[in-house]
Amino acid sequence: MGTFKVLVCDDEPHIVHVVSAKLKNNGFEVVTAGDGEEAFATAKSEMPDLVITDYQMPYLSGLELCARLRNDAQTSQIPVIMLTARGFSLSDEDTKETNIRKVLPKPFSPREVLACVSQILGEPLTANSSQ
Amino acid sequence: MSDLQLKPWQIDEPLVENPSAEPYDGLGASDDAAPAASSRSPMRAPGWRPRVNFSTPLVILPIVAATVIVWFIDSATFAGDSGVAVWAKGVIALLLGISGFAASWNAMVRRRSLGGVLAALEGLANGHKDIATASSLPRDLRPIWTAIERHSERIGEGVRELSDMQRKLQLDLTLAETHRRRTLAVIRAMSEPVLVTDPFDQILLANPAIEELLGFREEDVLRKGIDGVIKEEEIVRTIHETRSADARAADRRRELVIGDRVFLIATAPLNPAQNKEGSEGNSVVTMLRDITREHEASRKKSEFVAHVAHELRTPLSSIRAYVEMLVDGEADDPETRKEYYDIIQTSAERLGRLIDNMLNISRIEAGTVRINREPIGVAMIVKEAVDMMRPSAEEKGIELTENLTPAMYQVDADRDLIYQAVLNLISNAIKYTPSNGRVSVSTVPQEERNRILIDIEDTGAGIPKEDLPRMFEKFFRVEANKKMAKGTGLGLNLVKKIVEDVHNGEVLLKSEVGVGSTFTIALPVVGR
Repeated sequence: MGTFKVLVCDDEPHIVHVVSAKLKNNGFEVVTAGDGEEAFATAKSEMPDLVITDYQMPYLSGLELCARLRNDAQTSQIPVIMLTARGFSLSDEDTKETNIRKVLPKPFSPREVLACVSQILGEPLTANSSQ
Repeated sequence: MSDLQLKPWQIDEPLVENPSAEPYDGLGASDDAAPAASSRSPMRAPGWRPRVNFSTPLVILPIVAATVIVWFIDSATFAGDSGVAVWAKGVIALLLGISGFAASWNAMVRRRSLGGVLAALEGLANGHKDIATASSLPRDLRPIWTAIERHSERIGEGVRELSDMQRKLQLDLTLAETHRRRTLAVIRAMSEPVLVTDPFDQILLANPAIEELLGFREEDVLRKGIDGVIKEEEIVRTIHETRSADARAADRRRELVIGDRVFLIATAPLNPAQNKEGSEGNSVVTMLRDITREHEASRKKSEFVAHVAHELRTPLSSIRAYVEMLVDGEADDPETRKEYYDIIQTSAERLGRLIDNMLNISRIEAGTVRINREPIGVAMIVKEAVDMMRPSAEEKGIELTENLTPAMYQVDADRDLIYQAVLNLISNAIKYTPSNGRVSVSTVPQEERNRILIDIEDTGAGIPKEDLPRMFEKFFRVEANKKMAKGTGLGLNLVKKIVEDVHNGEVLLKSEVGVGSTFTIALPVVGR
């Protein structure tokens, strides 16, 4: 099991910073993006094993980013963890056509993020496509 | 009225001829409605004149005299004096002639006088009471005439009583009709749609507002069942429930959306307990109240809460995450720890500012803000705000300049609130100006209007013309500029409230897309 690469995307620099620090401290390789457009481009070029993204972002929302990742043959298998600042949970309808595996409400705990990442990446990769 | 053929002369005042024609409107007497009380002058019966009375003795006397004379003649004849007999016979003949003439004269006079009585009676029947008086009639007819007159008086009194009663009833009817019409007019004038249905769910009344809303005309739907007329199921269901429900379970409330308007369906039963006759049964009054604005306000409030929650959660997320990192020992070196502490501090400050903004707005709106007015130097406050914002400007690579008038212009103001307003505008200018841009803050006295202007000019994104009027609305944000920075949509609203509501000043805005914006705070000067 080599080093996993995680893409962290949020328009709030502090959030990107703290999530990256937590993951890096625990042996993950991290790439970052400040908005949805940038995240999609980075995902294509870096091919991360997992994407952590905010829901509410300028240019391209977290959900739109997920849909785009799913629809691109190159990135369609990448699992996603969604962070939401708003107090709502995403409906099944919202997540059906995406690879969202976990939704974490803000304020979140970096510990919890790390646990989720480890859990998802520890599962067999085939599980991704069955979602 | 039709059964009782009242004649104009039988009452003292004109009557309302037709009760339903012209109801009393409360504005003027109904004189116009009185019938034409034409020709009230008494009419004389034709061919009748008061006569001298011929009494009975006048007729009897010649007959008695003739009898005496006949008896005398018989005596004389017995005596055999024929000269006397011839003379006596002549006298008898004369007396008999006079007597006959007197009798026929009397008969004729009597006939004529009876004719006069009949004519007088006819006149009386036609209402000409003053035609005859008892004294002008033959003595033997006088009691009859007097009796007739008395009877006629009594009838007259009865008629007067009846007509008084009739007039009172008429008035009551007019008043009742007036009330009915007024109530109807009120219901029709109401902007709220109103519908009244009977116990069989048939329509008794539909005012113009409901006609317009539901698209039918009252005259087409009267006495028709609501099921066939009203498409809106919520209304039909609510009326059904209200009609069949126990009287105590009145007042049902259900909402109804028609187009972009929201209505509250309020119904109430007209139950038998409230209606003595019980004829109404459970008729139902339905009123639709337009609550679109309340809905909009409620929606905005929810939006506000969502905005606020989001804005509060962002710095809170940072604080929680970094504290946890420190607790978990994720920051080994002092440098990283210092970085984390700084972030926590910045986030906490941001949280504080947000809460201040919100509280200030709500306090100003509620009129409970505590204002400490004192003469303060404008330049000093502006300088403080500029200095406060300088680090953020530098961080973003924005040149922040100040050009403050040296003179000590003073305004009578609350230091904290004015500072907050200026800070908000400078912060906005930095937020919406790209790197390498420029933000300049200056104070300019406007002597002719005795006020001082605080200009905050930027080389930022600018505001589209159509958005300018809405810039100071709560939660309004320029769609095109949303991506540049996060905001509560409250900052400018607060500035306007502080300057205009609290300090009688003015906030001005000039902007051009792609060139930049200038926000100006104008405050009345109290001294220098």
